[in-house]
Amino acid sequence: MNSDEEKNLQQELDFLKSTNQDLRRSIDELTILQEMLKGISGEHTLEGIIKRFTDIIKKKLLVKGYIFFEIGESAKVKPLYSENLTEWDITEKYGISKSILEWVINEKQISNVPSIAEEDEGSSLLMIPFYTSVKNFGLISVAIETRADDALTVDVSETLKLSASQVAIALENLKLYHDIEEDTKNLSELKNFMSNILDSLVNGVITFDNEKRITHINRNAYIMFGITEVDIIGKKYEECFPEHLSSIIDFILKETNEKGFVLDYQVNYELVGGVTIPLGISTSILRDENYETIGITVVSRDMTASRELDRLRTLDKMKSDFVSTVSHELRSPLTTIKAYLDTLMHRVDENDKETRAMFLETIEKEANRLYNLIEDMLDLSRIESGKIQLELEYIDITDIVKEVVKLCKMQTEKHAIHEEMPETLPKIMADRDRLTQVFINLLNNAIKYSPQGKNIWVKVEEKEGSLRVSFKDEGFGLKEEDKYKVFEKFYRVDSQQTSDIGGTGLGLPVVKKLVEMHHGKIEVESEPEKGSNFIVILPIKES
Amino acid sequence: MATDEKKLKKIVDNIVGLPTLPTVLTNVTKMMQNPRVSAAQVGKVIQSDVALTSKILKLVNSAFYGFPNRISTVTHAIVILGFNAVRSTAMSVSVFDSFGGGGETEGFDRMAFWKHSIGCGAASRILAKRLNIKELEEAFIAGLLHDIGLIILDQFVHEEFVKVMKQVKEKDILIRDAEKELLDGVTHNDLGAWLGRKWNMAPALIEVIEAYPNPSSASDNYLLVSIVHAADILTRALDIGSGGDNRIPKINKSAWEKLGIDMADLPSILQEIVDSAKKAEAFFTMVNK
Repeated sequence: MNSDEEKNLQQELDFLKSTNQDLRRSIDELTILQEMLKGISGEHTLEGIIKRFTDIIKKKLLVKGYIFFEIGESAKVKPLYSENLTEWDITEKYGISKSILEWVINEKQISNVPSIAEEDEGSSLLMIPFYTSVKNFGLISVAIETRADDALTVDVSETLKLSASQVAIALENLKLYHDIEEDTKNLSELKNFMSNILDSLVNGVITFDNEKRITHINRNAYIMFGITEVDIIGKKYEECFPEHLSSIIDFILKETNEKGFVLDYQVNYELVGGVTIPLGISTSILRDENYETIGITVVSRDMTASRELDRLRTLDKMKSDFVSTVSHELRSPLTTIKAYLDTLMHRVDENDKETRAMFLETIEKEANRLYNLIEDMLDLSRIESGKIQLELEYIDITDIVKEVVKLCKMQTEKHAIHEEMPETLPKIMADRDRLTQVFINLLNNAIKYSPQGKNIWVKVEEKEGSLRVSFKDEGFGLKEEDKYKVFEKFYRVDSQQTSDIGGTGLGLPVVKKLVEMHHGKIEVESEPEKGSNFIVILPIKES
Repeated sequence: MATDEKKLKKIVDNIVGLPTLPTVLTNVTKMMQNPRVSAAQVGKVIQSDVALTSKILKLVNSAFYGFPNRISTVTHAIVILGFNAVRSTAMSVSVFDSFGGGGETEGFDRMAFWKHSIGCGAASRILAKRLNIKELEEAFIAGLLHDIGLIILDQFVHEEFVKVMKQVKEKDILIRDAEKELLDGVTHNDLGAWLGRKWNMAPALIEVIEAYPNPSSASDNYLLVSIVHAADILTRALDIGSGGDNRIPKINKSAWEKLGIDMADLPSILQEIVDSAKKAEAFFTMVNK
């Protein structure tokens, strides 16, 4: 070995030794670094992450200050926060423009530039980008008290690379964490919003999951169903609803599962204190985005208002029907009266007393018909609108019947009216005047629709807890199809025999209503040409 | 010794006068094994070679690196672009110095070859950057040197190479296929890898040169091999320079999948490659004409 070779060998050995020593030191430092890197991923704030990162740099280099730049809109960098370093510093002392910062980010390149200011000759500015495969987060500019060419050893740049990627991962986690937090916040706001809407509904709304647990209940459902338990979300309804409500829910859930929905199931729901409210309950199946059944929504509404509305609607319709029919019915006698009066005034000789008397008679007859018609109409309308109140008292019905027969016998001598009634009958609660009206009406009809000389039987009997008062005649009788129609308003049997007989078509409807007000009913037996029998049946106990 | 190695040895044993890697580069590589070595120390070593220094500065100030301010010293280049970028430009310069000149072989246009190589380097760097690989410069140099074996063939096994190129032209086949037939199964990839070992290149580089036509045969550096495999094909498809033949090899499916490139992104990637290859023209000026 010559001396040159010996020198070379010595150099090689020295190099190897120092490299080995340096490697060992680096390994020790890497162990510390690893611990510090773990700390980065444990941070949950941006400040914390950056602080940890600068702590690592501080282990290696003398740090003067730093600025963290984030990537803002249209990929421009903007300073987020800093410590002992300003944007002015990095521009003036290190000659760093925004375009260099952006170059660092785009090239994903850790760079270190020397200071250009004389007083800062020994310092340099490190620029370290933070990025993951999916996102660039920004960069940190760190001013260090070391010349650029001495600072960035292979070791330091490896450490920086390693910790920068750790920071990027932590930043990504942080972003995900914030996104989740944001989502959760939005979700709870939405939930609150929906719950407020549900609470503002006048309907009661309850939702159940597939295991019959309550998943939501709005304020009105609590009130409507008189639910007193609190904290019922998540509980099975059998455990916290009043028993009668549970059985209703049992039924409608079963119906819903079978048919897919329930529409306005009507129930009179009794609240504590005996108050009953009419409810209409509807349901539908709740499904998720895959159309899987996830539960059932139950909506109940208080029908009190809608029932009242229904009643008023019916009444209104009745009235308008009534007015249209009545105006027609009123017009015909009036037309007759007007025509006769016209003729009488302008055409009939003043001295022709016979003709005048005949005309006046017709006018009187029509006027009477008009009067009766109006009376009947008023009666009927009062009954139908519920304005007539019966004045009930215990009465002996035979008294009334006798009275009526007596009255009618005075009107006709051409029919034979026979009475048939037991000596004693139980008294019933009834309105004397109204029953008189009923019986007069029926007996008058029997007289009107029977030819002269025929018999009429008025019979009172007690049968099956009721009093039966029948008016049987030997008159024209009714066809089968007319038997029920005679109780309809303004229905007149259309036949040759009865065409001359005056009537309003309201008598029997009034009779029927009055009898029904007494909780009774009216029946009719009849055959054409053989006669009719109208039977009023009044309960003995109930009225 | 395996049969293939024997065949390769038969060829390389006849190679005389192979350039050696500049001492500066050997020293720099050695220095960088020490984690505590500073930019100033490495810079000082490189700056001792004035010609190399001026070429490096020209490259680091080129559009390829695109640093907005002027970089005036190698040390600055190291602190701004990193050790690896500077070493890779030094390596490029050395390769061009050693193999850039000469070459009049019929059917093999050296200038087109270097253009393709530089383009492939730029493309590899872009793919690596997309995959967020930290060693961008390694990808660049791997792309640049992937076909260095062709130059060895041209320069040192010239007679056979002339035959290879003749057959490539006549049959319109891949150089590789012609080589296998005429060189007893030995390819320029084998020769390139041989040079890599001789020059003490990083193991990853040697694996790329050897395995890039068939990434499935790669072991430790599958991703880098896949990158260069794809970069070579994309550069050929874009007709940047010439790889020596006029064919586009079949792309390896699993290598392509490994890169995870969305087909929708391909047009923008191709554009980026074209732009970057243009920016890398500074390298082309280093090639001795």
